[in-house]
Amino acid sequence: MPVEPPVLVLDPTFGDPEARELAAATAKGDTDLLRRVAAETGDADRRSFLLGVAVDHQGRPDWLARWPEEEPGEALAHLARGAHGIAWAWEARGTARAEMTGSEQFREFRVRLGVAERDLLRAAELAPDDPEPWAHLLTTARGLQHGPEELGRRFAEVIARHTWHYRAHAMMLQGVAPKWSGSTGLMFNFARARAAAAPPASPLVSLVVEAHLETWLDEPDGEPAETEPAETESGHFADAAVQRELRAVAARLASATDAPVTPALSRARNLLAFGFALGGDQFAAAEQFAAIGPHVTESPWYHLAGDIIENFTAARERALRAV
Amino acid sequence: MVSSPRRPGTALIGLRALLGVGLLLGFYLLVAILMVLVTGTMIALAVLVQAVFHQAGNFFLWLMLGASGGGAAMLRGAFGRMRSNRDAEPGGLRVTEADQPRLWAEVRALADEVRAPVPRVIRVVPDANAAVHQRVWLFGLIRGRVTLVVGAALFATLDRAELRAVLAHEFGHVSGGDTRLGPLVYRSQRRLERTVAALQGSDKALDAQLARVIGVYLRLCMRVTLAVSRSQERAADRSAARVAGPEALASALTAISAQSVLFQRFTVGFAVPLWKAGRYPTDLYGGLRAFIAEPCQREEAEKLREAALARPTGRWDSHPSLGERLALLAELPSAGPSGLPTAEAGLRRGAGSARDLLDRPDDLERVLSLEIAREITGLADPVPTDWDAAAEVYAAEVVGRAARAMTDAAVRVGGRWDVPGFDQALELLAAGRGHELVSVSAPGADAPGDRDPQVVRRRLERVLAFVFMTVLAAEHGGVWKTSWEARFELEWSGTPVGELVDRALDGPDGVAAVRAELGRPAVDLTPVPPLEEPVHAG
Repeated sequence: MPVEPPVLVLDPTFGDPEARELAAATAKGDTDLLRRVAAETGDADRRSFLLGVAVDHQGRPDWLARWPEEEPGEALAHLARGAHGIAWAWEARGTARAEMTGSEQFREFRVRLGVAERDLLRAAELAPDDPEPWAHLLTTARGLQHGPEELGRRFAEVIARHTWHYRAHAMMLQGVAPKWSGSTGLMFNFARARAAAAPPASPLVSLVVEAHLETWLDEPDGEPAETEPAETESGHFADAAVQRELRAVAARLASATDAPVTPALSRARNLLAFGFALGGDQFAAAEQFAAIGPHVTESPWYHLAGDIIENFTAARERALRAV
Repeated sequence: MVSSPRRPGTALIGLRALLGVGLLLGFYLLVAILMVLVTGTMIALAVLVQAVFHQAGNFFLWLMLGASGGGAAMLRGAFGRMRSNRDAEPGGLRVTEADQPRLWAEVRALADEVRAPVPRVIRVVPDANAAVHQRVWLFGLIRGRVTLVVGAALFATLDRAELRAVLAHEFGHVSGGDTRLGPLVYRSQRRLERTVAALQGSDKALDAQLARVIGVYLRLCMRVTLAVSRSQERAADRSAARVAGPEALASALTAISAQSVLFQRFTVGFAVPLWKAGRYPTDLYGGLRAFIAEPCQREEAEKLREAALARPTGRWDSHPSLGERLALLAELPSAGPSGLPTAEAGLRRGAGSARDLLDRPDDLERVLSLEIAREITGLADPVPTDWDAAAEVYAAEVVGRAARAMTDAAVRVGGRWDVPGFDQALELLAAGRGHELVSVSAPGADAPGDRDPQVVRRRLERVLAFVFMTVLAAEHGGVWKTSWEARFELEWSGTPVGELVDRALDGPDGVAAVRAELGRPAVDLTPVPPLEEPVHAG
């Protein structure tokens, strides 16, 4: 058992009351709150997070499927169905890597993504100032293999509307990773340039950790199924230069101690804790675990074999023991 | 004057044709014999089982029939309904005498000259061929209307004398009576082929054996009927030579042998991509004429002609080889045939294009092109496209994908998400990193020698041309033009694309010249350094 055991739950709403209310309302097909949330454009990342929660439903809800046809001039209708279409496409594909995915699954994946892309392009047309459709178009571009140059063009569309859009950066990093259409060099250049330029305490500094995570995953032993919850330091994360860069990220995030907990910040700290834990720096990991509190995120813990919560708890116990 | 409506040697060929038909009808006899053998053997075995083992012979018989199929597949093939028992109406456009009076007059005069019945229908089809069809009943004893089919590509490529020779050849088939038994031979052969295919497709051991027997019989029939067919072709050639002159026929046959291949290439290269894009070329045959007139295609036609001349007649050919036909024609008297009216005697190669026979040929060709596109695309209204607009369609198909693969490779290797791939490619070329572009854009081609500058250059040249074309079309006012040699090319006011590619592959100075002309910036591809830990004051 952990020394200080906050109750750990995997909560897509991060305990946010408004997010919970939104999830419940949209589950019933009630779009009133969603419309209000979408109209508030003050905090683009919070809006992005809430819109994500609103469309986080298994299968294809009827109200979402119909909405753009019922209100063809409503940008939000197209955006919501497009954003949902992405997750729905991945439902068809499964999360395995391309070489393990059947051709029928792939066909369905591409069909659904194609529909999502058309929805999102329509949303972007109807709401030309909204960065959100463009952020999601990064994901469809990745799945439809439009290539890194097109990804770059779409990313430029996002940051022209909101420079530090968190979801767009996270999706772009996936796109420029070697496993999709990028390369190691492109991924690290992107992560480091954006992290270095980001405002102090921005969770975007963790892009660098995410790039190292991708490199670790690409190692022959990094396949999730073969990786046991690490007792000792593991592969790429054990590299001294990697640990040095992780500490640089942690130092930039440290000034965010008093900042309100956001999903992005929680994810950044989970990434750091993971990187330090696998690299064997238990002291640095413990610091991150303390800052995380109960806010465990699925990523990156699902990359280890076994249960997410158990992986997190085991790593946290080891870190706290060392302290 | 042609003294007789019958071709010389027709009687002999007729006998052989009858032999062919006899053999095909004999197929039914063979099937009957095989069935008697199969069922007889089974019944005999069943009787034997009952007599020796006192077992139920009935049951044994059913068992054998079930296991072997009892030749049912053969019976189905031989006697089952054929999908289409009628002569299929040839496609294309039907042209009436009101539409094309001069063509009809020519056809009428020629038919009279060879004493063949005047066709009731003329249809113009897309390709480079001609044919006659005749409705027949009672094994060809009663003959009905004749349909003449002329390929529009012939109008586009032959002169009048050549077309006359081709039509005379076709009428020779009618007056020689070849069309009497043609449909019967064709249908019987199809039936035999279908039976063999059905037997081969069966999983029963008995059927495999039956397929072998009938297969041998089919080959025997084909040998006879194909030999007959070749004789009929030779006779039709002789008949046409008498009317139209051996030189005109020889030159028509030579032209068609090469141009039917070129027509096919033209279709694949220039029409198919338009059809795929839901379009149709408004001037299909104007394109074909320009394509064939292109010097490189003339060379190609010459090569095809030589290859056709070198090919001997094969035993499975329906027509004698070109060489054999030309040799036969060379032996015929070339002086003005007696049957030719004096005005027509002047018709020699080059005396006007066959297309001059058509009224409003552009309209006819346009409607035909639309009809083909409708049939192939299934669209009611494919988009009309002239040849210059077509270039963009070809380019989009070929250039876009290849150019994107290269600029994407440049982004991967160069590592800048916020710089166009084209600029990164130029930078990589200036830095002598072209081989990296090659190995990333064409993964798997990582053989030794890939760093050999000549190999890298060869691999980069073509795709770089595509990249330049894309950039010039999008940003420098470049215009796509259809080229009958290269399918498409890009016209713009600056240095030709080929030279730009050469410069880009000539190291830093060449790249600098390209950048200067196109106004492109140099790019810094130094990797972004890792984040540094902040230095604490203490």
